[in-house]
Amino acid sequence: MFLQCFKWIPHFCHQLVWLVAIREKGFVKPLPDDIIIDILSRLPAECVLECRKVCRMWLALTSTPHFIEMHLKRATPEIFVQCLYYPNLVKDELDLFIFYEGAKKGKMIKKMRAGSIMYFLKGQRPVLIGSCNGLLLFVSRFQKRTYGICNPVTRQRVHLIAPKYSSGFICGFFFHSPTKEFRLLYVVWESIGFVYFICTLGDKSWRRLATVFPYEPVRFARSVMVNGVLYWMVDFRCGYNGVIIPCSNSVMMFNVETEDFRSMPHPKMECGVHRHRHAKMQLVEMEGQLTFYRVDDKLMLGIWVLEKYENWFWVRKYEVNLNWDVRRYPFLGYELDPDISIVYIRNDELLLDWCGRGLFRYHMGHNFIEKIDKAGMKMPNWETHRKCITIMVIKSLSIII
Amino acid sequence: MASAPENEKNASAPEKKTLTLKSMINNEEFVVDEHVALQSVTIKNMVDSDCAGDVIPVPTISGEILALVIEYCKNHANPSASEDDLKKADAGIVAKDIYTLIDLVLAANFLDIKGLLEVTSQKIADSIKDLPHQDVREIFGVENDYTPEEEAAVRAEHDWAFEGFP
Repeated sequence: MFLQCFKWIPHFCHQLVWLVAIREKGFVKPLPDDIIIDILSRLPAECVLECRKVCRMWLALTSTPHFIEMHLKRATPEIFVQCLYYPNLVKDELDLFIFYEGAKKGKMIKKMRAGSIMYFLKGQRPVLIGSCNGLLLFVSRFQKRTYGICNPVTRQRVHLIAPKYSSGFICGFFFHSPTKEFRLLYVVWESIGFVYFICTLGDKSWRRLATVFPYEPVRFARSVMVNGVLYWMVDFRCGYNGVIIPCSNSVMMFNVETEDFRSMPHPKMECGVHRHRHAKMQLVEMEGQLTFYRVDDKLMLGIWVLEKYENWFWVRKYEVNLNWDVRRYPFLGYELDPDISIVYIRNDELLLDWCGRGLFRYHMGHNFIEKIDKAGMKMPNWETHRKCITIMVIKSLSIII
Repeated sequence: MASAPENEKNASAPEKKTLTLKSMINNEEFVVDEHVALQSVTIKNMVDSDCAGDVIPVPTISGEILALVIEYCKNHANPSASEDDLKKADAGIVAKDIYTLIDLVLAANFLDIKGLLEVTSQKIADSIKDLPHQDVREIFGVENDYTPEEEAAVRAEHDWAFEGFP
């Protein structure tokens, strides 16, 4: 017991050293490194960049993988919007915006300095197709094999050329935790089935996986990562050999550690011969759970959550009537087959991206709808731009290696 | 109705131990219930290992800061406080100037009170997030040890990529 008391002596001595330091420096007290790290990891990524200019020590403290990971965990995702505005695309300008939901009016939108990112995709008409830990993945509209990856905060960027096939595409962009590497998954049809390639951002070379799988994901649909597994809806037209994909194999998954593919059924509903209904089914992540949704012909949005992974047990969670929205915000050119996707669902709040109409926030419980790109906010106009890509991105300090 | 809590208080009074915390900076003393003070892991370890006397000296923490720490511990020792109440109370405690917050974060760190450390760090982060690096440097009393060339390089590399729209 007596000895235990000695354990406090070094601690106290440390404090006393500070005490002396305080007296010497006036009222400014030096903070221990772990507190500085803790404080800086709570700042938005661009503010961390500003703080790196303070001194060498702070630059070092905020450049470690530990700090970058800690920061990433604390940062909240933000909404990135790319407008595929034709005249600008022709002028080779990138219309990329960040939408700050909580900010005051007039400060909700910031535009990315186009030059910083266009530099490496000059003349390529890049289209944003995915994001992972703060990195953005673009595909070139001109040369379909050319991809670009950048961190929009640090502006670090790389080019990537896909394997030599004309018809394949990158279907997954993920962080491989065991090796701490960013990886890409590429799919292409070969006569035996779909073959997959993996590339690590560091070495940029493609490795062919041994497995040949009978299905491929919906083209350029963003994969959903839950607990180290990537999920996609299977392309229902799949099969250059004319095979129609059964409902029991309509969702496919890839375990990033074991590199195994599997498929599973979507939630129970009558598809009958109307397999094209699979085109209206999509996946999203909600608070760490795999979530499935589809919009039916009557504009009802149904949302299911995968509760048990062992037996693919889906539970119906919400049913949202999108007709409220159409009544409240009438619009011309109403389509029978609207392109609607969920940007996020959290705390019973749903953000919908309705292509050609805009972003809508639904408070589920209260049956309340709100269009969030109101006039006067200087938001790029969804209605005239027709096509916007909306994606959740965590602004991070991730390094492309 | 009114007498019930009093009875309870009287009944438990003999068991209730108090500790005296003494700021070594200005010799201010605070008498607090033991269960309130035990939220500090540092104090808990001292009490558990019988290192604590009747008066626990707290070096480097002024009476003013110690009072804030004790206020936090009292709020969080109250089992009937709702999460909302605690959030409001925490916000009140950290509604201070940046220099007080730096003292408070040091105190929370020394006394090892996780919750207080977290709210104070967050508040400091919120208050410095829009400041230019020169101001941050001054607040934290850090000296600029970059050479002019290095500084130019760091600046070029770390100017962020977004601008106000349009």
